[in-house]
Amino acid sequence: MLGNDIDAEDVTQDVFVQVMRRLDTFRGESQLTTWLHRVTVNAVLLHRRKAARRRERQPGAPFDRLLEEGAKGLPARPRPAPPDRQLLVQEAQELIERAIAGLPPVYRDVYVLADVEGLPNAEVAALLGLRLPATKSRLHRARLLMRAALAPHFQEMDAP
Amino acid sequence: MTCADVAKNLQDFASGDLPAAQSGELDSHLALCPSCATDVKGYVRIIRLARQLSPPALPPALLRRLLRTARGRAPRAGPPAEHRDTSG
Repeated sequence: MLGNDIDAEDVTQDVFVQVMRRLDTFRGESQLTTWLHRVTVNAVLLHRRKAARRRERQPGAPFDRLLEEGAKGLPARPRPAPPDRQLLVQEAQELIERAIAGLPPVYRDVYVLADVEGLPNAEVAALLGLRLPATKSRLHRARLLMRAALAPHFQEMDAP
Repeated sequence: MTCADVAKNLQDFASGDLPAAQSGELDSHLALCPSCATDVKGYVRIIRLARQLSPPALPPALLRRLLRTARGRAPRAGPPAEHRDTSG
């Protein structure tokens, strides 16, 4: 959802601390995974707001820009495939991750939660504070953008 | 069904939410329209590819950071009260 590894690691650390601190507030009324998704999405959105405020205060900070833009251009880290998913070749995985990172955040959030994480649309809507039609509309738009980004590579992905 | 109708109903078609009659019409259109067939195939493929992505592995350095955080927050393990030295 953040589009780069550096921010993702920072947010993972934040989420970890929050979960440790707030685990006793989990009442068991929802699934633990739903609660974890909520904590994580909130942390991502907060991180993004803070980053936006930093950029507003220092609009031309070249190091920040380099960090942000540079990290976005980096290929994603190799990741082990879980046994229940068909293995994508490394190149295909990187192409897809790069395409996801290139989505505008409003579309990326919905796409990652719905299509990558496999959450139902209603749950995605609740997590992001959106109405269901807006969620579906953004998801559709995200898929169209992904299709446009990856269409030239589909044949490469078919290669063994 | 026209190409515009296919585009309009694409999302529901891909998720299986399109009523059977409309779904059948859309299928018939796809059989005659290679352009729409390619579009639909690409759309469905994008959904499948997303589900094939592997979840991120925890980088070792981050794992070490998290473990340090966990140890820092864990209650200190000390000897049971009856074994503590209270003489000093």
